[in-house]
Amino acid sequence: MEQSKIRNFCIIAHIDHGKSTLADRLLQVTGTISEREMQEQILDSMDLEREKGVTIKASAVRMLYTAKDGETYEMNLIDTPGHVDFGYEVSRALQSCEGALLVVDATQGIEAQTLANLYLALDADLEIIPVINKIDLPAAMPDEVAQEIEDITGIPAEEVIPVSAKMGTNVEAVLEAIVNRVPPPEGDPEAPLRALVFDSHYDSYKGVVAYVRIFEGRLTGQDWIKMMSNDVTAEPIEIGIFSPAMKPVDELSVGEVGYIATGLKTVRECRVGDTITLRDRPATEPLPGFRTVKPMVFAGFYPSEGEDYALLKEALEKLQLNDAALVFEPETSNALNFGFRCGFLGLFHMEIVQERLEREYNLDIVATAPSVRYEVVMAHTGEVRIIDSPAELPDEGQIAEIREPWMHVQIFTPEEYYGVVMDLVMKRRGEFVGQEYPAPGRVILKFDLPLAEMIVDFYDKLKSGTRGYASMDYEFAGYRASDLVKLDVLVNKQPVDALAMIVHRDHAYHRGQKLVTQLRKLIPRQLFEVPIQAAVGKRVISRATVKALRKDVLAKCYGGDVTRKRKLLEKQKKGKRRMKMIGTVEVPQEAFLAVLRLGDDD
Amino acid sequence: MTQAEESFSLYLHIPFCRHRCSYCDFNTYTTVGELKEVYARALAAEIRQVAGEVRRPAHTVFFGGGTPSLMSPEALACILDAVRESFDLAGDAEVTMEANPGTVDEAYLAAVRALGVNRLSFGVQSVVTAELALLEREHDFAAVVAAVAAARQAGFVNVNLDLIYGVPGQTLRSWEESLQAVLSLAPQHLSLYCLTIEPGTPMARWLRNGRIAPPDPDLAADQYELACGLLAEYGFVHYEISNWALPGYQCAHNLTYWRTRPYLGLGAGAHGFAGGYRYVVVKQPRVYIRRMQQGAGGEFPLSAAVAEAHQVSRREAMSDVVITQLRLLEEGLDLVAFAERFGVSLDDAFDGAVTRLMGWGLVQADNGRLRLTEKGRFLSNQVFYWFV
Ligand SMILES: Nc1nc2c(ncn2[C@@H]2O[C@H](COP(=O)(O)OP(=O)(O)OP(=O)(O)O)[C@@H](O)[C@H]2O)c(=O)[nH]1
Ligand code: SF4
Ligand SMILES: [Mg+2]
Repeated sequence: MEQSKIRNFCIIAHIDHGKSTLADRLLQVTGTISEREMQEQILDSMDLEREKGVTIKASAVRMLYTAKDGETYEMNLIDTPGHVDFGYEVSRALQSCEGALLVVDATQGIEAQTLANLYLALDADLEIIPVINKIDLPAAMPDEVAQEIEDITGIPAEEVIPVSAKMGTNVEAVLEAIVNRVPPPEGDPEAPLRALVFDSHYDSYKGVVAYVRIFEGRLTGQDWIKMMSNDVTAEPIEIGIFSPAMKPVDELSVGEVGYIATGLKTVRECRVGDTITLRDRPATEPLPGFRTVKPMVFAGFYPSEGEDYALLKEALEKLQLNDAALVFEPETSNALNFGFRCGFLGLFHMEIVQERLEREYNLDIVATAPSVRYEVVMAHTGEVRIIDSPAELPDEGQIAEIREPWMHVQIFTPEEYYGVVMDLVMKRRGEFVGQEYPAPGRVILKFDLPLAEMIVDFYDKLKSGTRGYASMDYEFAGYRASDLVKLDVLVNKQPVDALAMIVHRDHAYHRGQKLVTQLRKLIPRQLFEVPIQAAVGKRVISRATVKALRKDVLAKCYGGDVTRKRKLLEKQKKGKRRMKMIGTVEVPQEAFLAVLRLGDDD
Repeated sequence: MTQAEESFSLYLHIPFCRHRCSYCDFNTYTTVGELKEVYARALAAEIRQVAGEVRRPAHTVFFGGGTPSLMSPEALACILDAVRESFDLAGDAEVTMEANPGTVDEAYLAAVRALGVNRLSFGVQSVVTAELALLEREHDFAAVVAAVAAARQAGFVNVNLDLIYGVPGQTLRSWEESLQAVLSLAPQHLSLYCLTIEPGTPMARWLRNGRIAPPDPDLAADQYELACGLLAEYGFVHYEISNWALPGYQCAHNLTYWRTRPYLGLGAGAHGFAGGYRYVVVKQPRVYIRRMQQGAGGEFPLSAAVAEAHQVSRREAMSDVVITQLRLLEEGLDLVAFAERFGVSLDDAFDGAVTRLMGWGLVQADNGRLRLTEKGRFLSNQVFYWFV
């Protein structure tokens, strides 16, 4: 395709504002997908995506569109996830495009990630086409939202395109705007190949499939390629485009988006963000890559049944092939035995990984409460240790200083919830930075907040406190020293590593008390009394007792129904087998997540 | 003993009630009362079909429900005739009928007595009005007093009364009040059941929506202990986890279950254990009737109405012995007989479970018999689940 007829664009929005649905309509209107093949949110191909109605991975698809000017254009669409945990996917997609559709829900207006993604798109120098979606809904306020968009972006309200992705209303106008407003890609078709890997997935036949945008030069199916960061070379198995299924082509040329089935066996050899060039005619400089994503949240994943350890390892390795952000290493725990310390982008990411392990690999997982990564400065040596599990924290006497990650947080909310949001953030050691009024009645509150305070039910509390209206975005701010201590939990006098947590000294007493209360409810009564204690250092700061079990009978023998009785006993036995043993105490797996239920108020 | 000589217990299920109690998940129906007569004929047919040509000995008959006392004497006669015709019913056989106070008068009970019923079991459950209301029982304590008096008048010597503890709102004191009140009626036998809130019952719904408080296991344990003490004072023998009897009045029918002896389950939803099978009959009365009208039976003891049957494996048989016989607090489990029958000691068969449980003080062995300890009685599931 002639370079001037190519349009590369992505769709960005706050979560659930309708990106994937709009993509569906574009595919339909351009005839990329026949009516028969059409299903909702077709680009969300993972089971989990379909079920949650949420896009997790970005995806790319080529469409051909014959515009009103009579010309046929090649339109490359990159759909992106809206959840903040997957923000890195968005920034990668942006670098591969010249334009962005900014979708805003007509009933919700601009929200935190609308803004965050908008700024990313502006940074990447993209042409922004604002689209107001869901105008079919009775609660839609397209005029107000268009005004909001004008206030924030400076794009005149009249240029904002109102659509209903669901009903297909006005979708042609979006395609025309892309043709007319998004510039065609630049780049020299005769220069040595430079292709940016903006995503990848693993295929057991084709190896790592790199999703690429060609910035310079061209690539044919016969060329050997070279990864510029590590000099790995490969003879691609095939090159092609997404339409939206993978479809081989003979050549990918400057400006185009497509894939290279590299045949490489590990994602490490073909990293997202790397530049691919030709082995025999290499470029000299790689393209600017992406910031590498660093996991922010860590948790232990243990198989419920010890014998599943090897299966869990295999499953994590497989997931990692498609999820470069997931990291893991072996870990042992006195309560949970052998498992893995896993690192995630955020809690949502953690949840997704856990669900995929359970669903796609049929594994039963016990996850410990999530933690962040701390920097511990040792007292005598001055050495800095990196610690992502509370169990690893050295004794207080050996520590000069503990630093924890802080985040810049932006919360978008109707003004009436100002107090609620303030309150929530302040309770969690937040520091107020500033506020803005982007539109009448709406406020953006900016805070700095320790990440550790955000990973335990912060978002849920924010949502429930503001009746769902607030939205948030955050980014890493840096490490700061804090007065942190390790809170140990002892069950029947035995410390349980998987329950330990790192908390601010001022919160230790309160958290300890709550944790102990939770555990008392979660640990079933045993044949003997079980003391539960929370301690800082050697000092017990809170205690509770699980009283000894006194009653466990089936009083009536239902007219000789021994079979029913046996079934009940078998069920009970099965329940017990799922318990983890701490010494002689049976502890249910849910207890290890008790920390997640330590709300601020209840 | 050969198969033919072994004496059976017969459980006969009557699946009709006037109103469903709020905790009830038994196989009973409140809207098909018109089926009673046909049902009695179907039940008689099942008895004949199961027995076939062989007239096996039987030593107990138990009409359970449901509410057997809703059946007319004629219907009961039709059933008992079939029993006597098909089985060699011992002269001193125990023939029990469950009855609800408020459904019987002296004339009815006399008629029933004349048919050979010689033991009555009344569902009293509580004497406290509020508790009865919550349980949605249709009688008050006055009806119980009247029913027991009528039973005595009609010549019944052997009377059992059922009570329930662990009822939401019940206290230790109100429980004692119920116990004292039923003791004043001089029963020969008492069954005390701890309320289990079964899924699907109105009570389970009330628990979910907060209308009633969740049962307090410690209170139930206190109530149980109180009953143990009080009934001992009154001369009752605590012979099974939930059952007490004056000497000589243990329920022979239930002892069959607990001694893992064979019993035939007849009637809709009845469970049986005989001929190496455990089986259950179809639950729906209409289906049951249709099946008995049309079908031919299988091998003994399976009638045309049996819904599910499985042959008891050796492993299951071993485990059955434990979960039934350990319920007998006095008799316990005969370890020698167990080892003789299965060729392995109980402890070895279940990976040292006996030793472990003795260590925890839940069971004790003496004179070759294993019994639940006082501590183990109310924690019997903690014992049993090592054997399933
Ligand atoms: N009424 C109405 N509903 C819509 C419209 N567009 C999308 N929706 C609904 O909004 C919900 C979210 O749509 P998606 O397309 O999954 O949103 P998304 O932005 O891709 O979401 P993420 O990928 O999770 O960020 C779905 O239930 C859609 O059916 C519209 O025009 N009108
Ligand atoms: S009387 Fe018995 S069988 Fe009938 S409804 Fe009440 S509890 Fe159930
Ligand atoms: Mg989506």
